[in-house]
Amino acid sequence: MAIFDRLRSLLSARLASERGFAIPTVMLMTVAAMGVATVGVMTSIEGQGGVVRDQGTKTALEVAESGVNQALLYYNRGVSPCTAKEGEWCGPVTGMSVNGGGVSYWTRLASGEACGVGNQVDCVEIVSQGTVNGVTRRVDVSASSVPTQGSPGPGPFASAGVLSQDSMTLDSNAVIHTGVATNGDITLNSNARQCGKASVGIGKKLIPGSNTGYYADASCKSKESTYLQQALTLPPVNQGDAATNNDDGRLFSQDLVSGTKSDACWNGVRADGKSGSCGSRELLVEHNSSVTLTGSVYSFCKLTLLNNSALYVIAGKSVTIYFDSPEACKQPSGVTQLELQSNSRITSATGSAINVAMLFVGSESLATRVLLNSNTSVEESCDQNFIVYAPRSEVELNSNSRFCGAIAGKTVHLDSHAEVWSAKGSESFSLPGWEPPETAPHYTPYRFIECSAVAASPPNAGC
Amino acid sequence: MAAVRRRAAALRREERGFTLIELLIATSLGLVVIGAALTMFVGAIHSQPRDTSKVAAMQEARIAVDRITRELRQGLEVVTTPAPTTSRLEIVTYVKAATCGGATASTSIPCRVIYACSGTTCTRTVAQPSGSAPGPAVRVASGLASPNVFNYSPSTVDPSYVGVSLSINGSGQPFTLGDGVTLRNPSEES
Repeated sequence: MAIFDRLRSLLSARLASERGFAIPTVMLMTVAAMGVATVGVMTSIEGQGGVVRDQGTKTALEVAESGVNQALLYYNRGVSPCTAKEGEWCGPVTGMSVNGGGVSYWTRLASGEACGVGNQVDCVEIVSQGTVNGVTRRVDVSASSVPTQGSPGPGPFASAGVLSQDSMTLDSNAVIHTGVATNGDITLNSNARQCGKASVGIGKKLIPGSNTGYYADASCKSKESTYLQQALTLPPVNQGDAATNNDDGRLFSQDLVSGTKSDACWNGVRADGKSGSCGSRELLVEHNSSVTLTGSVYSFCKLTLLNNSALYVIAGKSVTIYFDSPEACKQPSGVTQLELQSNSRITSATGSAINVAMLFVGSESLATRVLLNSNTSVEESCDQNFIVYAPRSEVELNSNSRFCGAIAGKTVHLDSHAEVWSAKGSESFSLPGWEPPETAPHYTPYRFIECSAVAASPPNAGC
Repeated sequence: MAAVRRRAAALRREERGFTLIELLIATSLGLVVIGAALTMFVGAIHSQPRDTSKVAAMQEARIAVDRITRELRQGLEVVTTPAPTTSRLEIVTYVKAATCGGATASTSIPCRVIYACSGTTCTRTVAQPSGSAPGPAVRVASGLASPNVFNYSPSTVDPSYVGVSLSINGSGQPFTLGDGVTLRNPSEES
C-alpha cells in the first residue's frame, strides 16, 4: 500500500509539475521536422523556380519587342532616332520602363544591297534588350521600306471634273455634267442640277433647293440620293521659273492679232504699237478681234476677253498659261485675273482638239477671281483638255456661259444657265511642277531573330 | 551575489536524479516521438529522388519547349510538303550556325529544323533549307506520355501559329507543358 501511495503522490506531483520536455528532446524533434519539411520545400522551390524563370523570359521578350515597336514608331513617323551615318549604330536609347522592366534599343540604317532583301529598299535594323526581374532577352529585328519618291499619284481631276476647296454653289438653272468634289458643302438652288457623282467634305452636305436635281449620270437621267464625304486638298500651283522663262515675247510678234490691231493690248502696248489701257503682263482683246497663241508657256497677270473676242490656240499645241500671284503682279485684293465677257471664247483655230491649262498661283492673303460671263464659250466639241486650276481663286460661271473641261477653284459658283461638261482626257491632267509632300516611310519587319541574352558589341553580335 | 554563489554551490553538491520510472516514461515517449520523426524522414528521403527526377524531367521539358518555341518564333515558314503532323514539324528558321547542321556560330542563318516525336522521345535534326543534307538527330525530349506534340492554326495547309504541348510521364507524376507562338518571319521566302 505504501508503494501505491507513493506512486500516486509521485504521479500527482508530476501531473501538477510545469516541467516540459528536455531541451535535447525538443531540439531533436525540431531538427527532424525541419529535415522532413526541407526536402519537400526544396523540391517545390526548384519546380517553382522554373515557372518563375519562364514567366520572366516571356515578359523580358515582350519588353524587348516593345523596344522594337517604339523604334519602328519613330521611323514610321519620319522621326529618325538615329543621326549616324548609314551602317553605323545609334544608341542605346534607354530610360524606358515597360511592365516594370527596363528596355533599351540600338538602331542602324541601311539601304540597297546591305539590306539583303533587294536593291530598291531602305531598311533599319533594331536590336532591343528587355530586362525583367533579372531576366534579360535580346531581339534583332530588320524592317524595310520601299521609297515612295517619284510617285505623284493621280492628277487632281482623276475622279471629278469640278473641284472646290471651300464650297460649291449652283444657282438658277446651272448644270454640271460631270462628277464634283469639294471639301465643303454643295448647294443647289432654283432648278440647278448636278449630273454626276458628288463628294462633300467630312461632316458637310449636299443641300438641295427648290426644283433642283441630283443625278448619277452626266445626262441627268438617273436620280441619285447618296454622296461621299471625304477630305479634299488642292495643292497650290508651282509655276517654277515660268514668270521669267516663257513665251510672252511671242505676243503680237509671232502670236498675231486677227481683226483690228488696236483692239488687242499686251503689257501696256497695243498690237498697233501704241500705248494701251492694259496693265503689266495683261492681255486684253475686245471688239471681234482675236489672238492666236503659238507658244507653249505664258505668264500673265490678267487675261481679259470682251465683246465677241477670241483667244485661239493652234491645233495640236499644248499651252500652259500661268497667272502669277497678285502680289507679284501688284494687283489689289479681289482682282479678276481671267475675265471672259459677252460671247468671248477660247478655242482652237482649226476646231480640232486643244490642250490648254490655265493655272492660277493666287494668294493666301489677297482674293483673286476667275469670271466667265454672258454667253462665253470655252469649248470646241468637248474633245479637248481645257483646265482652269485656281485653288486660291473664286471661280464664277454666269449667264449662259458654257465650259467644257475641268475646273478647280477655292470656291465654284455657277449661275443663270451656266453649264459645265467634262472633257475627255482631263482626268489624266497632272499639275506641272507639283511634288507630292514627303511622306514618312513605312517600315515593315522582315527578319526577327532572338539573340543571346547578354548585350554585346556590336549590338547585333550573338544574333 | 553571495546568495547566488551559495545556491549554485548547493546545486553542484546535490545528488538527487531522475527516478527509474521517470527515465522509463521519458525514454518511451522519446522513442515514440523519434520513431514518428524517423518514419516521416525516411518517407521523405524515399520520395526525394522521385521529386528530383520529376523536377529534372520538367527542366528538360522546359528546355525543349523553350527551344522549339524560340525556333518557331523566328521561323520563316512551316514546311507543308510533306504536311506537318502532330508528331512531326519541319520549319525553316534562323539557326545560330555557320552552316546548317554545322557548329554553333554567333550569327544566324536560315536552316530547316525537323522535330520528330515517336514513342517517348522527340529528336531535332538540322538540314539545309531545302531539306537536303540533314545532320544527326539529337534527342531533345524524353519520357513523353504521348508523341502528339504539335498543333497548327489556322490549318496545317498554311499555319501561322504553332502550339506545342509536351506531356511527360515524370516518374509516375505526369505533367504537361504547353506553349505556342506565331511565326514572326512568315513573309520571307526560304
